[in-house]
Amino acid sequence: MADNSMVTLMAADHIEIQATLQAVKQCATLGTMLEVLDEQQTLGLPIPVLEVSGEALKKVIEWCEYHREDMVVETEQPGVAAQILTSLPQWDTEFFANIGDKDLLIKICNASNFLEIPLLLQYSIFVIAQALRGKSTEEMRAFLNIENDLTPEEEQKIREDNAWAMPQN
Amino acid sequence: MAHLLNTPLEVLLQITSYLTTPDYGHLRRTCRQLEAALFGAFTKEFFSKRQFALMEFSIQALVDISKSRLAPCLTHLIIHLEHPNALGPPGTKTYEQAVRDNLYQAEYINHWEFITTGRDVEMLTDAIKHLPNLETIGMRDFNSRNRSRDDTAWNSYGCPTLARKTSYLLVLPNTSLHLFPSGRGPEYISHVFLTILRAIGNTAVHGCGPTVTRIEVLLHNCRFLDTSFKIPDRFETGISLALSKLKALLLDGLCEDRPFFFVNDVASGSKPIVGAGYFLSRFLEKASALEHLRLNFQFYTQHPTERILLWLANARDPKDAQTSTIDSPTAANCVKASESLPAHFPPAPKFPNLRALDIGMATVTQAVLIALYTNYKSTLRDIQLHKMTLATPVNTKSNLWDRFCNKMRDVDLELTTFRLAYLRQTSNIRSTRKGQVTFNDPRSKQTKIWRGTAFSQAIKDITGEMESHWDESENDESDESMSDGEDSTDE
Repeated sequence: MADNSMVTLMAADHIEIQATLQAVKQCATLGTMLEVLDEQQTLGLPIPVLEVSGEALKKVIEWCEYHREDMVVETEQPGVAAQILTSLPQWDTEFFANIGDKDLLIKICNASNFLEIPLLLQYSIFVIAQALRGKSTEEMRAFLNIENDLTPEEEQKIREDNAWAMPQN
Repeated sequence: MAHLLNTPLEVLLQITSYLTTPDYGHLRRTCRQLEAALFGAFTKEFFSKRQFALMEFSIQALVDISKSRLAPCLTHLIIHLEHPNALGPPGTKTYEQAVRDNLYQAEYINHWEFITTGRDVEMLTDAIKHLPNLETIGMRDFNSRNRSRDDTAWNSYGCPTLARKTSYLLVLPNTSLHLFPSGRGPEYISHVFLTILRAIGNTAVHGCGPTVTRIEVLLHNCRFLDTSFKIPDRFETGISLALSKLKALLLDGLCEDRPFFFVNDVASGSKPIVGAGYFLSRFLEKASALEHLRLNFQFYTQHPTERILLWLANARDPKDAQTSTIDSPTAANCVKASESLPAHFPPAPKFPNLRALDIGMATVTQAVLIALYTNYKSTLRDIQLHKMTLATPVNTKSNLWDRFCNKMRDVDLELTTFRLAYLRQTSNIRSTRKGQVTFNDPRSKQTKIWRGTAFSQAIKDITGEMESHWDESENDESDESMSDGEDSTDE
């Protein structure tokens, strides 16, 4: 199959998304799947991506299409520290800025982890972390849609642990 | 709805790696599931290895941690040598300055009380006995810079707060060996070391608490006097018991002693000599379970270093050894007023499990090192030589490290690791010529680390990468040929 030929991906909610083969190969999970599948029997059939919603898969593929000419980054070796980013390239900054929805951002992060797209995973991790920085616990709960289920005693214990870890102490 | 709660732990940890410690703390407090997921990584990062100063507020935090749910996490405890110093003569002060000065001065006085009343030992003992998984205790004079968050170092708990409140920094022990140094001198290091020993001795003798198996002393500037290794008689039982359980002992900044005292030196025709390493040797003798020993002799001269290493090698002059054997354990442990001089060393120690031996920052002849390695050849698997100078009395331009490595082949060591770093060489005692040996390796010219199973065969490769350099000297024209006997250890 030529790299510019189109394949169809089917998300968890049965939404079908068209993508170039070259873009799909940015996803190590799908790339491996395509290598082992019998091309004659699967030609034209949608590839199921049942762990990812259509909304997230669409954004992931949009990112992969833009980066399809990039060298596929090797999946990180165990024990090797992940690269610490300080900023994103301009296109990627705009890509994430346009997402707007924080739930979708987390979905993209989880999808890039599942589909093994190291660079997108690294970028989405960076964006989520940037969004969390400087927020109070209450603000983080609101941002992440998390309800506080800690008892006052449990919260006090965590406060004590945190106090011993603070750099200014 | 997408939750961070559904995110795999490894991804979650990568997100937290970008957060400052306060942000990380806030995230832990969002809900029970996130707290449970992050607890292991959080405690590993902040509480598996912690540093405190021997000051009451800092050790109190250690005690509190030891009695919290975090106690099982702490495996490595570091005691830093920083402490408050007496302030200079008071000048004109604003009200705020006076308050700050008083705060610091109060801490200075409190620190003196803390270390002179035995409260430091009590509290450290209390903490250690509540740390079930404590394995390593270290003593340092620097802060590690490897903290990945917050763009800061790993400070001793509470010390940045004191500095911020008072605008005064804590100080390190004076490194001067003057008779009356300003501030606390090298004796403070001895005190901190003894406090650590007493605390682990107390827990050992009462059979409670952890078994500390590693002591790591890492000093960038401070001097570690020989008298630091003197164990007072009344603490002998506990400390000896604790030392007998040590598997690793890393000693740095070793310093010939002050004040000097004399020992009998049969090898020098009964001429009294200064007993450098007198207490160190008696200390090492007690650590019979050692598997890893490091001795960095920053503040030793050549011959005292060689005497200690030859004692370790059990390769001293036989007459000297004979004298030592009549040195009873009690008399050996302390210098008492006597009409006769004590023997320099006790009988040579036995380390039946010694696997790793690091020697650093010393000047020795190759024969001393060869004798040492020969003595432990049956167990020794890891040798490290760091910032060492090989010396020969012969005036030569030969590569002394090449000769040494080839000599090691004859010892038939079964090494798996051999590390050389920052090698120096010196020749001709009368008119010293100095040089260095580097490696023909673009990744690192100053260090060579070999790992493998066929050390004898690897020596050729190691020496093949060596590049010997000698500084220019006045008598460059003379280059005496060397034989194996010419760099013997005889003075």
